[in-house]
Amino acid sequence: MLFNALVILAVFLLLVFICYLLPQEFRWVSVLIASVIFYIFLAEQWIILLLAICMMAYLGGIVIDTSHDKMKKRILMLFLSIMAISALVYYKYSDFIVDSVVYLLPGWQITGPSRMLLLPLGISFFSFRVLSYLFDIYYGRLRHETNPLMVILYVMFFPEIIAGPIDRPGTLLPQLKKPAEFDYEKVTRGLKLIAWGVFLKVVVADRLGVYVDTAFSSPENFKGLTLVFASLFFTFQIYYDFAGYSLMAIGAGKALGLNLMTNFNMPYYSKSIIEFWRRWHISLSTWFRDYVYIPLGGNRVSQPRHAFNIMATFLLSGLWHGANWTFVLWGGIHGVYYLFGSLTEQIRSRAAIATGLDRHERLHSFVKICVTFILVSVAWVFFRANNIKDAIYIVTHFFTGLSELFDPGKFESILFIGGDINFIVNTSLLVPLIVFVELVMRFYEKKDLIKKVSDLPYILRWSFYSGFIIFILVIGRYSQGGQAFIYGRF
Amino acid sequence: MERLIKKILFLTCIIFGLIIIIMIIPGDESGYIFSDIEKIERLHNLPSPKIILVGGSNIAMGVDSEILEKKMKIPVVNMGLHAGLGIRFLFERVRTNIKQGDIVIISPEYENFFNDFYNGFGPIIGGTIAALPRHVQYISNNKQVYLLISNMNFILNARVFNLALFLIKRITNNNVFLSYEAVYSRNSINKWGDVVSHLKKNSPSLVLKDIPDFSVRINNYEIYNYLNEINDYITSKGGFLYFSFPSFAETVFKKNKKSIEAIFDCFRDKVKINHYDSPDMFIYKDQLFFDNYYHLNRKGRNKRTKMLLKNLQTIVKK
Repeated sequence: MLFNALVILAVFLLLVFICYLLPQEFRWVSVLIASVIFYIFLAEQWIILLLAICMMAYLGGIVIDTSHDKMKKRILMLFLSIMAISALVYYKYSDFIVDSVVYLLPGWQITGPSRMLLLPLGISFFSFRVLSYLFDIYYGRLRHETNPLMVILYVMFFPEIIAGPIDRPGTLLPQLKKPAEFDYEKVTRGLKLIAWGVFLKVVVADRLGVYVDTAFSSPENFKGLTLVFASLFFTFQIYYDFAGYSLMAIGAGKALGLNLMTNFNMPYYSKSIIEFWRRWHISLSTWFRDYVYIPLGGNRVSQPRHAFNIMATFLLSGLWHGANWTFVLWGGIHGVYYLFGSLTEQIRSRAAIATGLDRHERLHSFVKICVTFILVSVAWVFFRANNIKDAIYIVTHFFTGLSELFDPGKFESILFIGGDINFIVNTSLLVPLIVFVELVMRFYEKKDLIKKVSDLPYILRWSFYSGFIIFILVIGRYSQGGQAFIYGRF
Repeated sequence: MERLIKKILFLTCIIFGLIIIIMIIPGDESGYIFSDIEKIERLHNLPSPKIILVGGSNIAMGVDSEILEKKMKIPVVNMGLHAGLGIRFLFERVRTNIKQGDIVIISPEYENFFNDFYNGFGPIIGGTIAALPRHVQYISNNKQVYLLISNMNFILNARVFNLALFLIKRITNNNVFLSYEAVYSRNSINKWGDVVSHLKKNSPSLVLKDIPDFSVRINNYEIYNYLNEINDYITSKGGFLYFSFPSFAETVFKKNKKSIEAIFDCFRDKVKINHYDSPDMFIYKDQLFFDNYYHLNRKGRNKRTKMLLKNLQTIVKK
């Protein structure tokens, strides 16, 4: 894994140099070649499928854009949408659909067609990029591309293919056609963002994963605080895993002269679920808003219909994350949170006034952040658990065995559930790592930390850079075969 | 652009410099893997003919070399260490010390017969080289070189871990990690190289929690060629090789019976070793194991030693 990562990094740096040596109008060619090679390197067996979907998007875009008949356009859009998601449905959801039908109708003896097939890498992301492209043309927000290679580049753009962000064609395509000139500050900032992203992923998220995997693989062996820790650790693991990948993608884009979409904005400091979804996986949230929620009527409809629109959007979002009822339930829980939050907004404001909490703005914000964080963390249990039964066991056993908290001998066994010394060392690192990351992120939100480090005296600055890289190399977890990005599985 | 290239090269140089420093700094040497220093020392010093036991921890924890030595009347060294090193690495440690009249008993864990495990498991090989850099001489093919490079972080990781442990022990007067080191440490072996630290302990309650399923793994046929190659080598040196299947817990055997029988069939078909036993000879009840389906407890160890001795005596008489 480490070796592969270092090879990819070396090749990426080479690509950056080649890119800036080429005339500006041809740079996209090098990025396209790199994207195709990158995909072949990771999942060669799916390259033909991906290219076929790109060609369908290209041709479909031309036909929709040049058609003047509204009805014809609509039918065509519907047909192309079905085509665009058919691979996604076949490879990702067919077993899920079949298994659900068999569960409901036990007499049926059928098995899913794709049970033995691997999921094409990045299928959830590239399918949505294709849909973005087609929908934007359909709604008149974008003109069709005349160059099919440009459509391929948009869909296959290598920093975003595995786990997003899902940049819109309207913002990405013009940049791909004409990336910015070489800017030392911008390129090095991109490389620093990549390093921070790698740190979040391999040092923090993957170390959290050791504890989380142990507890979630057989939750019935644990209770109380162990399950609470596992759930909290997963809350941070998924964030750092995904935010880490997004930062790597954004950093890679920046190094190539492109500005990619920000995907996370301190989501765990949200004061409500509504705010959480404005800060979490922004590219996907806005995708669902623009292509599902608003076309369904958004909030400009009756209240029951609005509730339906919200629930449908969240349930679909949950389903997008994985072919399992746990994901659907996770989406449903967030939908309920969202609706409950909207409906009780006035009551909660009145309660804050009645208790005097509104007069202490900081305390009020703190309470809101804590409540939102707890709600989100509980929902993550359904997202991570192997099945609904496990999830229910975990959330119903949070408060069992609390007396062990005050028993020093037992408290140790709550934390060090893996037993061996590596597990103990790993677990001991978790809380300090989370605190460190949160402090850095809070600081970064207020001040430009990268610039602060760049302004340090020469020796300090280079000691920091080299120390940080060595820290990633030494403390990072590079399991054999590679620890996949959590969102890369979607 | 030139500025960027210069800075990247400068940073690369610093990183390599730091890696070299990390590799040079001495660290704690009380870990289990360091017991190999004593084992190799004994191997070097023993006169031939001698018995050399080679394998992973099934050998390290599952044979009473003292009894073997008394009954066979030739010195014994237990070179069993860690299955994760793979049988190739484990054997290469002893290769140059095989002399006229030596008996080499080799007992690889079943994992060696699947995937590429016999070349070693990257993190374990990496961790071992980090602890004992001279062991790099036992890397014997390109796959292991790749394994080592691709697991460079484990080497760094282990070095830093050992350094941290060294410092913590100094600061805390050597007490902090002792309770976790009791079974697996450099001090856990006796003078023959047998792990004996577990013999007085009760088996932990979580024995056999992770039962492997060999049927989902891919058979590796390269190991049979390697076994033939080492058999030829030992014979050419005037020694002889006895292949013994590892001790294995009954529950795990039942689950993997077909896979293990297939291994045995393949072994008989492809390997030209004259002296070998069969897997079923060393399948024992779960209660005879310590903390893993290969690690025998005192009772199991005695039972296996007796069986091994009986087989060995029969072979020697022939």
